[in-house]
Amino acid sequence: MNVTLFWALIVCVLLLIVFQFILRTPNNGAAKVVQPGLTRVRKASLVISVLLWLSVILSAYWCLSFLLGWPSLFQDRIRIVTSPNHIYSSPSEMPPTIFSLFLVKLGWGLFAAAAMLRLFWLYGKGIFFSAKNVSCLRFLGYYVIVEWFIDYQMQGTQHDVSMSITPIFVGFFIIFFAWIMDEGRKIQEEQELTV
Amino acid sequence: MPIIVNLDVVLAQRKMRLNDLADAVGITPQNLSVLKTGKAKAIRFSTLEAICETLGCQPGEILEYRPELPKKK
Repeated sequence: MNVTLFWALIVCVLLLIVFQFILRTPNNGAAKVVQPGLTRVRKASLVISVLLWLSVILSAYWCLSFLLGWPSLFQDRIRIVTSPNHIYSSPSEMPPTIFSLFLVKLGWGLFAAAAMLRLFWLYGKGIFFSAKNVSCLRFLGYYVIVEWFIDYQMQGTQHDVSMSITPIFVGFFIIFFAWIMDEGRKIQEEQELTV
Repeated sequence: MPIIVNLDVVLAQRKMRLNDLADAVGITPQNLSVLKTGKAKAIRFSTLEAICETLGCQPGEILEYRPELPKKK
């Protein structure tokens, strides 16, 4: 079997896992009553969900184009730029370490996309402060941090780029906000269960 | 939680239905059901007072403290 085809299959399997992750969310939360003021938030979330789906489809095509050598929608070939001096237009040009990290980044990005889709899908359903929202938000925080480490590894092997550590702080802030949201959710739950 | 709600026992002793108690106390049967099934996280003094007044009982008859058994390692 062709190596590129093998990796394309892995991407397809990852996509399937991501879709399973989205479909696993039960829809019983839709029964929650939404205040009229939040209707606009719901509508905006649905629009963002559609845009996210489009970006996921485009990204999937972009990745498959790179892996399989398909023509790009906007240029003749897809190019991966890991640093100004390292531009790759096909997987065969990539060193094995960089290619492996690229695939890890791809898989990790798929899970992050699933978390984003799930979060906005929940907002669209009128579920704003549930444990699922918190877990999605927390995962996105971890995603930003791990993504930075993957990039660091990718660029670190080439030793020609200095990376900003801002994403690490952003990731920690997202996790921190998710924690605060979780505590607020617990207080709300306690108030709801006060007779 | 080591606090046990014995509202069902007291109701059975008084031969009273949950809906009748809810009407008498002035809270929804759903909320009273939350209390009866032990899902409630807290109870207001005003609610407890109304329940005790309606059922003619003491708070200790409705609420019971039963220490949790230590988990085996």
